[in-house]
Amino acid sequence: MCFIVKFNCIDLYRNFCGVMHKLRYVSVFTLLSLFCSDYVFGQGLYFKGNGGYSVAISKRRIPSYAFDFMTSGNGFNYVTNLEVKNNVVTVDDEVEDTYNKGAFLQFGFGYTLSKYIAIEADFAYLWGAWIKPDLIEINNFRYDFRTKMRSFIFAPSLVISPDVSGSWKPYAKLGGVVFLNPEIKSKVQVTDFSGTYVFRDEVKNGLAFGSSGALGVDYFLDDHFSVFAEISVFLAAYTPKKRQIKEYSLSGNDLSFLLLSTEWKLKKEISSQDAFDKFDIAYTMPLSGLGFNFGIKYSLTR
Amino acid sequence: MPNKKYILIPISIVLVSLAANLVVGQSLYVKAGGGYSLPLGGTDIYSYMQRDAISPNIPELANLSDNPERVERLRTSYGKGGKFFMAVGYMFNNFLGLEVAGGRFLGTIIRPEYNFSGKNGFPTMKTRATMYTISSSLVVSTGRDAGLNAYARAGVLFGIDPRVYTDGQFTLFNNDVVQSSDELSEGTPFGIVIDFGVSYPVGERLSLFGEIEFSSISHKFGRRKFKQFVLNGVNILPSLDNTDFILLDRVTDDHGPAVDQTHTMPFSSIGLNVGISYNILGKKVLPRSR
Repeated sequence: MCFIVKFNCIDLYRNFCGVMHKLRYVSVFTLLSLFCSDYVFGQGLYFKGNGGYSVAISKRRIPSYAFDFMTSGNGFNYVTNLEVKNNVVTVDDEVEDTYNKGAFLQFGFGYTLSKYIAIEADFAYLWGAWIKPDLIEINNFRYDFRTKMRSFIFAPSLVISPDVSGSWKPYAKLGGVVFLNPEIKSKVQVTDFSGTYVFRDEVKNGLAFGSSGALGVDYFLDDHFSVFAEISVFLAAYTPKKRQIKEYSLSGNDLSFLLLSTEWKLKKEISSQDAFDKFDIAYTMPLSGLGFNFGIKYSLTR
Repeated sequence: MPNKKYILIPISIVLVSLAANLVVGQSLYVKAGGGYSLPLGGTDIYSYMQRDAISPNIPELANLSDNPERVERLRTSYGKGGKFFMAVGYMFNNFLGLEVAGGRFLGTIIRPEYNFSGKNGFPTMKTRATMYTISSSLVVSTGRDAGLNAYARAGVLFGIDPRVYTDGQFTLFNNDVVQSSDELSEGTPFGIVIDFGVSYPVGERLSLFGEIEFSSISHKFGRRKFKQFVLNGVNILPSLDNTDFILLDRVTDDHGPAVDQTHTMPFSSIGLNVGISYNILGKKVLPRSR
């Protein structure tokens, strides 16, 4: 008897799975509908779109391979206000900044679990802003150096907010942040008696994990639409895995054949046994930032 | 001495808030707690002692430095370690408030043993940061009257009397062994601090709380002072030309030998705080009835 019941249960489960497989699109649609409604799980789904600008906070030294190359590998591995006269360093002043700065565009969605708590996922693209020293003058030649990062960003977070009935509603967010394959581009240009030298490189590959938090306020335009403003803080650091030289030229003529290599794998630790044309030391890039966001939300239910 | 405005501004905010309590206030509370933080968003830390071992600007060590055979970037943050704090807060209404906290960051020993290895092996180093802290934060609360209440705080944090102590030993190219201790000090660390917490009432006015806190802080010290300098077992500190260095942002060739460059030190962290809060004025909080 037990055997028959067990058999029937398994059979029933198989049939159920078969039906669900055939109806998988209907099932997904049904589940989404339930999430979108206020009926079963809580308050409902909302969508948001916003833009903003991020500035440096808790500034750090800015590592740069290109800067070191430009200064002939004299150990200036960090972006520096630098003046060299007659081959003697007369000014040495490290620049502090962050790679997580510049304009970004973001969209996301969230789900309110209760009157007080929601979960949210944001997807953003950071264009980045140039980091430039004020002064680089080496033996009477002025160098133009700049570097910036661009990256996709994914930030899941937990949102808490009070149960207020007016038009204004403050909220706070805390969560993680993942920078997806950030690319850091650097460019150096200098004109001397020979012509104009241009050097460009790129470091990339890898993920950067960190934390993010935000304080914001919603202003409800009607039952569904609201505009919001928030201040967010990102705390992260990035260790790239690959460095590539994109250009080394003199007045348009390629000079890359003079280089030991044009591509390196970056390792956290290197020894004298590592081939210098294949491996280089990996620096950790600061990604802390303070963001100012403005945007609009659409709630399927309020 | 830290800039007075860094202390006066948060104190003024608290006083104004307390005065406002007479008119519109909901509650005033005090809280005390402690916690422990781990490095987050840490970047390469700069070690003067490592620099001394590789390319010293101390005349006694000149030409005796070792060539590193193995290099590793040490990525961490001085924000690692224990802390305790006290705070006073004022809730304008059920949902918004202001909190000012003062505390002591105790730090913990960080051992950057593998920064580089020379022909004579690894230098050994241990380093630890401490500072007093003052923070001023805006509080957003779910405003639940009973049971578990979630809240978040976001604000600014200032450090007072920050110090980094480092003890190390390294071997020079001629096999001389150096043991040294130094101390970095001066300046006012500044950063952002965000907390996400829950409180639970355990009495009419008493609550327990737990918070996840992350802080984004960095600092450039203004002074480096040798506390000990022993060469092959002999204390040569009194005979050193300079034991007290002023650390400057911009070092130029006309500065004297007692000047060195300052470097940004990371103090960012993520941590857990627990403690107890007491409601002095305003509504009484009751545990959820069962």
